[in-house]
Amino acid sequence: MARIEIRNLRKEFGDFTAVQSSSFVIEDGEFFMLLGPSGCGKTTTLRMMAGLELPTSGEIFIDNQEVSQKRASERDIAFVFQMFALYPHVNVRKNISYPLVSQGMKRSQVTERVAEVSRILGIEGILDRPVSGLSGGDRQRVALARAIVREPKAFFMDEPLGALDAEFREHMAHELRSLHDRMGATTVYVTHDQLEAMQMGDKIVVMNHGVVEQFGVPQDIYDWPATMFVADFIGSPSMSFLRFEGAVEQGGTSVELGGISVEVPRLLEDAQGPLALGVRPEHIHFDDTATYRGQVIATEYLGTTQIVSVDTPHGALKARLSSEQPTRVGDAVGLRLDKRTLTVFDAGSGRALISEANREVLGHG
Amino acid sequence: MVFQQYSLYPHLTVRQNLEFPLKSPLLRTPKDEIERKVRDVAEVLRIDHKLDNKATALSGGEMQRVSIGRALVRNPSIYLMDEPLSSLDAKLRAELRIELKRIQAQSGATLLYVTHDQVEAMTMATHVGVLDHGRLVQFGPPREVYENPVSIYAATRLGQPRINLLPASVFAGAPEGARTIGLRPEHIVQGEGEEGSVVRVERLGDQTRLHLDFKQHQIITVTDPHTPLKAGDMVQIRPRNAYYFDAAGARIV
Amino acid sequence: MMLSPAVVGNFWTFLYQPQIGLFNYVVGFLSGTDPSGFSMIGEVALAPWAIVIVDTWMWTPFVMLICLAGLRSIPESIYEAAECDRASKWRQFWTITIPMVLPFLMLAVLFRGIENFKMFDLVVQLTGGGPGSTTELTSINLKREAFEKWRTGYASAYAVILFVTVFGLASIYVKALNKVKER
Repeated sequence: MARIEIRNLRKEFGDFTAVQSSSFVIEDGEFFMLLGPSGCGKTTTLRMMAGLELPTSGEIFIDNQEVSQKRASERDIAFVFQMFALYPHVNVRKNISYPLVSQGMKRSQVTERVAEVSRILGIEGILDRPVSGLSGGDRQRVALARAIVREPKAFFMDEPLGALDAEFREHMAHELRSLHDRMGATTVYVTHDQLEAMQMGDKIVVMNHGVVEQFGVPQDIYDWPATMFVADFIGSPSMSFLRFEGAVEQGGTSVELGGISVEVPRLLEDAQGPLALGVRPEHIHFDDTATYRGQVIATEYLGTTQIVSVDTPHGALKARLSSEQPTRVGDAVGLRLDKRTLTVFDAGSGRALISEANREVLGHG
Repeated sequence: MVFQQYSLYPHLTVRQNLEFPLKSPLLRTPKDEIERKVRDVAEVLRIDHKLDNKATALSGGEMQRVSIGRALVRNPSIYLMDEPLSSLDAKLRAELRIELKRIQAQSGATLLYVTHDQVEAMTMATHVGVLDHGRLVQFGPPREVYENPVSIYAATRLGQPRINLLPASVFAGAPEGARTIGLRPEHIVQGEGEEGSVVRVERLGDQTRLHLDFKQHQIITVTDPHTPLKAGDMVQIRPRNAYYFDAAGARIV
Repeated sequence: MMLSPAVVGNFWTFLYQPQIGLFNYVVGFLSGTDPSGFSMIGEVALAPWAIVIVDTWMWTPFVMLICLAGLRSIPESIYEAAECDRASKWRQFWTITIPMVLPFLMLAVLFRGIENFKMFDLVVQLTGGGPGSTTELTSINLKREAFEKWRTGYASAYAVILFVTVFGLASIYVKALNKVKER
């Protein structure tokens, strides 16, 4: 198993820069998520780590060994593809044993390993079936079996659940995560689904336009996003922004929204011009005594909670409230924002302003 | 009818696609009337700036909006929609959910909507019909189906994370004939009752899910997002407002 | 492949010409023998080979196109998977490329096989079935029986037997092909 480090990794396809100077570290045994919208460079990053694509510049260390110009077969890794890429002309058993036979393992040993791995994944019953007749879930299991059978240094997975339907996806996500918990192998996983990333990942890298926007543990990224992009991408519904023109200064503890003062965590830097106040849905409370007001424009019932959309002079907000709280479209409501959880953004650059609350998470830069 | 796949006419522009149902010889709509209707619908769906684009030059979300628009221009008495949002990405889906609901509320039209996505069913519907192998097992407002399911099947359709189903004997106090106890994740009180061990802590940001091992049964419950609990810790739990089901899966009230 | 077999046959009779033919010249130049010392279409030992060479020259592009279609049908990700599974290029060729192109190869063999049973115009132009009856293929033989010797009954029976044989062989072959595809 291995620690993986990426330093200033860059990839250009002709004029197009797919990945711009990414750097991050994946610790040994971590379940690591590369998250971002389609076309953000996450898959390219993964393929460079696996050796299926060679970087334009930068370094990749697997187990303290520089491998950026080595081919995939020289890196001792396993890759799970989005469409599984099983060998269609041979049966399940041969698919799983392929990597073992490739490296010249003895036949008796191969049989033993295949039996062991297929027991772990619960596919003993289909070993002699051709892969073409398998269901999506079984294909997924075979692809996983083929990946783990060789006990490689690291696993790379490119949206492995993307081809499954929603209900089964959740089931497989659990299966995958518990498999990881059992084996403890370093895993790098690409997804565009933020919920999947939050659910399964030990750590997340959020990418956009080939740039690493933020890197950290899921809860930190959720609570203290580094940019408006991250704030918007993570969470369902995502963070709401109240946009305003104004100025804040170092040491300030409130912002002015159309003449109404809203308390925020103490800021540690100055900013002026277009700003945005970011607030998570569960940190908005309805309070008739609050001075900042808005009008309910829609409600969505979700069982225990409901999502209420509120129109304010500075943009629409989404609040997550208990379903027990009666709300009607058209109601005018007072909004109390939980001041400990707010983030002020520079709306021009999208960057979060450093405050006392997010200093620890974002402090290093 | 709105289909799952967009089914637009690829060789026509957005405007021509929207006009198509109006130009049907049966309707004989006057030209300026067509013009006005297309403009209105395009505005509602926020595609008015794309009216003269070819249908194939649109993004997935835009195509789906055009295909919804094509159904809207005609003002039919009933709209039939077959998972119209399923091919869109999460952000857009959330946006269009509200949009569709608003359009429905404004026009007052009847909308029959097929979906496997429980969030769509809960948020958009005035009434939900739960189908099990072609049989309608429960019908009512989403809140009623969620809070008062008639069977195990109906109870598992709604709710995220899914309802926990355990043998009724796991907790004391089950009524006569109960085989299964159904516990929604929020129906589990922590800090009192019997002990279970935490298998995994899943932090989703706005909530944290606890995967518990309770008397050899898997239970998922939700807790405070910043809970200090970690895997291996012990937690006391007690059911509250549990549902009981008999051997056939029907609810015991 | 783009030319009529009759034209090709005619064309190659010039190339095979012992005195002025380009083919004889090149062979003579490469082997250091006298170019006019052998005749590809005039000698019993060489005439069948003359046909084989022309037929190969003519139909290689066709077989190549089918193989190319086969190669293109293998998704790139399969090779990437094999690469990650640490298979050498050689092993990738034998365990992935060959088995996955095999159905296409077999299809090409089927097409060419059926066509060779009815090969006629090329040979007529090239050798006329000679020298003697060395290159008298079934189709030429059939035509002679029917329209030169006027043994119509015999020829008809011959044609039917030929049809049944080709049909039978092709059916067996297609079955085998489907089996390969199913794997």
